[in-house]
Amino acid sequence: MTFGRSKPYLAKVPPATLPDALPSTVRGHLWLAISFPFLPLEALGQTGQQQPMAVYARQGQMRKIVTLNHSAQRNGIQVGMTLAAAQTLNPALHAIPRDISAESDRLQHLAALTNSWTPAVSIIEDSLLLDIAGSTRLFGGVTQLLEQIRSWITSEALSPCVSVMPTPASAILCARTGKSLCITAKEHIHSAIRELPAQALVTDAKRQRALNRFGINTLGDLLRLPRDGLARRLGPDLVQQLDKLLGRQPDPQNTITPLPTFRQRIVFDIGIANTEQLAPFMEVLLGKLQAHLTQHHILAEQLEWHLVNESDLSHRIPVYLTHPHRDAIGLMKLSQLAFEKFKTKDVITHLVLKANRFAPLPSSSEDIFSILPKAADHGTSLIERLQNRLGRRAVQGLCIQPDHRPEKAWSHCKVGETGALSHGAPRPLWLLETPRSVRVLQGRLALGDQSLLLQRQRERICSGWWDSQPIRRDYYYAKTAALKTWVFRDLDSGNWCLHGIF
Amino acid sequence: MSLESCLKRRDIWRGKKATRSRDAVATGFSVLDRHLPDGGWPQHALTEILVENITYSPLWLLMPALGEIMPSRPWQIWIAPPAIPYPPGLSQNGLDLSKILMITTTDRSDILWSAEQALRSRACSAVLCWPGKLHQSATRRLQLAAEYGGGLGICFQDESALNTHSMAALKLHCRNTDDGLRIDLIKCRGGPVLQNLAVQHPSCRPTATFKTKEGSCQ
Repeated sequence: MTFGRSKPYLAKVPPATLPDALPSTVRGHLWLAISFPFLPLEALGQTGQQQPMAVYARQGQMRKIVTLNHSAQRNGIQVGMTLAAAQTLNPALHAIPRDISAESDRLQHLAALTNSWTPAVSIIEDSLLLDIAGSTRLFGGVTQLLEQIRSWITSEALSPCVSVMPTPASAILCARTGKSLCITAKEHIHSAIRELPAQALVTDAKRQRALNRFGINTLGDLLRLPRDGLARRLGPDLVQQLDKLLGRQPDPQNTITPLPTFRQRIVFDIGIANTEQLAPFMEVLLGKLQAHLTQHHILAEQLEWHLVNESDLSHRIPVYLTHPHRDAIGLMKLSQLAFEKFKTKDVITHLVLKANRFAPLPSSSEDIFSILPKAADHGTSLIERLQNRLGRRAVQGLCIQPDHRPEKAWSHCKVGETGALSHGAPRPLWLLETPRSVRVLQGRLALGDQSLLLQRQRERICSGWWDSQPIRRDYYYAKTAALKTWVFRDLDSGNWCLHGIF
Repeated sequence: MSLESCLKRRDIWRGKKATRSRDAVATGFSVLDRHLPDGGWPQHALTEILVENITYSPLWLLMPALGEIMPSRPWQIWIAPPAIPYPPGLSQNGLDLSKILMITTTDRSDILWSAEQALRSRACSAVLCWPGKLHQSATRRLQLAAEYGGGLGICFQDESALNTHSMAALKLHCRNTDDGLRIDLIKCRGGPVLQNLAVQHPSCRPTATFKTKEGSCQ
């Protein structure tokens, strides 16, 4: 077919990036790719430097430049040069080894943030790929959504490239080659990508040399070649790649579901000695946590602060929540209560906030007419405040245990829990933690200077042989001039003791 | 100022009123109900109860009232009691244990802080605390917190507080007798200060629900 080269065919194609030509909603899929040309520098936190900087990676014995900043580019240094060559061009070049794990952390972090636009986010090597078809109507059309994402990502990263295409492969390709496009129809892909260099798609050196020999420089040239010949010479996978590029073959993507675990830290340049000075930093971290929780539609169940001192020892301060929530102001108040009790002389160098227990957001609808605050709400927030200042063990409920031994017939329990029910003979209102011994004077019982009168009724409690704290006692109701008491006589020793007060 | 607005003020004494206002909870003891100004323990207020021996604070005096107001709000808070409030006994006296919160702390500032928080929260029908010695400013804080929160605030103290100044709405002095307590009102907002009110322990009443074979204490 010689027809392919003719000019009239090209003229029919409308300009691809006209905003008014775009439909406001899209059926099927629409892919938005974001590439980060300076990702290795960003991951190392070195984007703000004025001096020439470069990130290098080891390839066998060679150390090759992966990314460099603008001032290094002005010195004539290029990506792919060896470090030695680059340092010859500028001896003052500041070179840092690449940190792959930091890069992937940063991509994960950015991917989690893009979840606010669409749930279908994938990480493709060093780029992000978002399926935005489902979200276009919500955000008022493709262009509006693209503008929102673009303005957000330019504030987050250094000269990112955002491209919207109907197929994932073409979106990634355009973003990586720095072509910022917005195309929604599959039939326009061809005209948009045909000017791109063929090397952008064919990355291995052997095939690149073959393409050079064929005299093929752009993707347009590559697409004009007959399919069977191309498959025979360069492998069938290249043809598949081209089909995926144009949307002739399905290209499913794995979307990531980021774990909701939250862990953020703030490092202080100058250590902080007074915990009160931490408050503004705590607010920042809690604000981030709130954004995180809102994005994942979850509520936090427990928080943990870690204060790390100069010698890398950390103090853990848990914040207890009686019911899960995500209100940063409420969490701040609770954290401050938890911090009140904390005293340290150490100089704090980082502050870390961790949350890894979450609850799903309950799907309840509020009555729009109810203006009265719920009493139950007050109750739980009170308990949270008390527990955070006094500690969990200091604020507890009471419950009855099914045991005959009076000292084992009760226990502390979690707030609001119910235990067994009381039954049987009347029991006192006060129980003494350690029974107080009662003297026997001239055949009469005496409590202090008052004599005890036993009532005739007796209750024998013999129990507990199985757990090595057995008791064998006779309990009596007794009264002094002032008190109604519960006393017992130990059957083994014969001693009398006061155990409770009615 | 209209007459109605005058009558609404809690600090105006209107003679002996037999009727109980909604700001009080019946004590369950007819002598006290008759003589306390609103016909019961004042809600929205702090009540100080002075006793001879703090370890044997007369809980039975409060049991009917605590049981009555329990359903109205989620919690009743007991702060730093001197011994174990014995759950089987409390339950037999009609208290719902799942609504009781125990705060065990020995730090005085924590006791006062939690008492104030609890009184102010509007989530507590009653707050019982054993704060040790109370300063006048502390009683004022607690009284204001109780006025805001609307619960029943009870502080148990020993007799050393007999002559200290207090901002509580009601201050009682309890002396033990053979069959119960003899109560002097030391301070009573909106009512006369009466002495020697005899209150019988439930186990000594002729129609006692408290079952002993003897039936009576005599």
